Amino acid sequence: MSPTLRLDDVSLSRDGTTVLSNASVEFSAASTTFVVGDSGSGKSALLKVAAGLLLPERGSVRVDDTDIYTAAESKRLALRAKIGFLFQDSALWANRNVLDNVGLPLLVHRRDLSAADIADISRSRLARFGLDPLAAARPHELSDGEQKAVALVRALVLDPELVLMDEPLQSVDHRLRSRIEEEIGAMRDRNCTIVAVTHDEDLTAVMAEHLVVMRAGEVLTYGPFDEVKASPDAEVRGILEHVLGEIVSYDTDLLQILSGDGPTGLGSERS
Amino acid sequence: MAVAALERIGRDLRARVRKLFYATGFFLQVLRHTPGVARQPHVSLKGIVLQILFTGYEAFGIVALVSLSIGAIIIIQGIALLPRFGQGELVYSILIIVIVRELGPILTAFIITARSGTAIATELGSMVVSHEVEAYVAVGVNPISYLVVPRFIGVTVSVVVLTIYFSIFGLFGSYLVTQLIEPIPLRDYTQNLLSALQLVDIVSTFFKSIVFGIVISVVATFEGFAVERSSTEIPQRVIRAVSRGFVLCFVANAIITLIYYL
Repeated sequence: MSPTLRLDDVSLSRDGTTVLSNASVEFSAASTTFVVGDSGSGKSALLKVAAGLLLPERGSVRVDDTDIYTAAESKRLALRAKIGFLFQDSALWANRNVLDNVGLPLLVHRRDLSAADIADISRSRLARFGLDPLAAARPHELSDGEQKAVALVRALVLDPELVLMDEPLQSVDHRLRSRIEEEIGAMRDRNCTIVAVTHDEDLTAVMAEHLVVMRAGEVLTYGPFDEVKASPDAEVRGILEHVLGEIVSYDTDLLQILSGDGPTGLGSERS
Repeated sequence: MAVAALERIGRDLRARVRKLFYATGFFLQVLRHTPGVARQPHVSLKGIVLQILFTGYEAFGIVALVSLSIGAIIIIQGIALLPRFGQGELVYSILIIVIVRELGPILTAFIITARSGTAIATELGSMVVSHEVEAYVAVGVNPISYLVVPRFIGVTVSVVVLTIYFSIFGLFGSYLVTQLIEPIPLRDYTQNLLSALQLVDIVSTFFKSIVFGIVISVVATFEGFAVERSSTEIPQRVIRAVSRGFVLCFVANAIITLIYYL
């Protein structure tokens, strides 16, 4: 069963600047939620706090019933295996080649696997993105798009139940974009809890079941996509129009086209 | 006016005390994770060996050069000055005190701070900026056990080995110069040095080199991790790693030397 992720009254500041202010939001199990907002609204910070990577000054983050920051070390480690995180800038380890980048989570969490098994699994996961010829390459030898794809493979190599992605389609070409979209679709089919930060209109239109709208570190609203899209709040609508362009004015027919055989070719329906 | 100044002093003091507690906590975390490092599947012996290679082996050349020249200078001054006061036989005790007990550990520490302390702070700072450290946390790797402990062990072992190496080469440099000024058989030279060398000298040198290794590695890793977001912070933190490393080594050296004479 995929986990529920819940943030309660999370606040964070840096150098005297408020990054997150009493942010509360729940990402229900097996849902796909997109976090939107203007640049600098705190989306990435929210995602990192949710993933247990950025300790908030106040508030709590719970994955099901476990507080991600105060749980015992062994419990936190077990939780890490269930969470996949895709960084906006990929954050591949420069001192490891592509294969070792993908293999490290297996090395940490799957102690039953031999080094050969880890290499085989890593290679097969890379092959799904057509990246296996790059297995021996160092991150600096890859394009930004390839780095992003490798980072996604690394984030998903343990088949996590909770996946957090920061701009999953940034810098990728059409081929990798299609492949990443398929992978997100597959995660949805596996009932993963997915949280993504993106400015990509098409992806949001097709994939998002829920929306979180942020402004200046605050969660303005969150809920099912259609409810948030139809929000009467002028501020929310303004942000949606600004961030997602014409999506808020798409009619139902167009969304259905996008959900079916639309231009992105996703072929999955937004529930 | 006076109240504002007092408030500022109070704030600064509080910030310093907080930093001191944070640094102490960091050091205790390093100590806590060191014994269990062998059990971590992702921390290999290879990583520690590589750190010793970078910090120790690659510094052999410069340590040899510095120690040879220091040894030569001390013997030249000793041979020139001590006989004037009828204390020519003290030259061996002075060689042991200056090279083995005092200059060996502290100069080795300076060389390692300048070479490896800067490299470690730069590397870790760059990893913070590129979010590689966060990526380790994200997959369940503790950055202390994976990134700090191998450097902590590698640097400490290297400083100990290089200090011994410094002492041997320093004394060898003295011998070479002696051959030019006042030739003496190697066997006699060695015997004179060994009779001047006491167990307490060896213990003091060994203890100092361990302390300096700990100071250099912990300060460099701490400052590397103190980089927050911008690459412009890296040189600032590297400078702090060097200056704080030097200061702490000096203070530790003074305290250990003081204890020696108490």
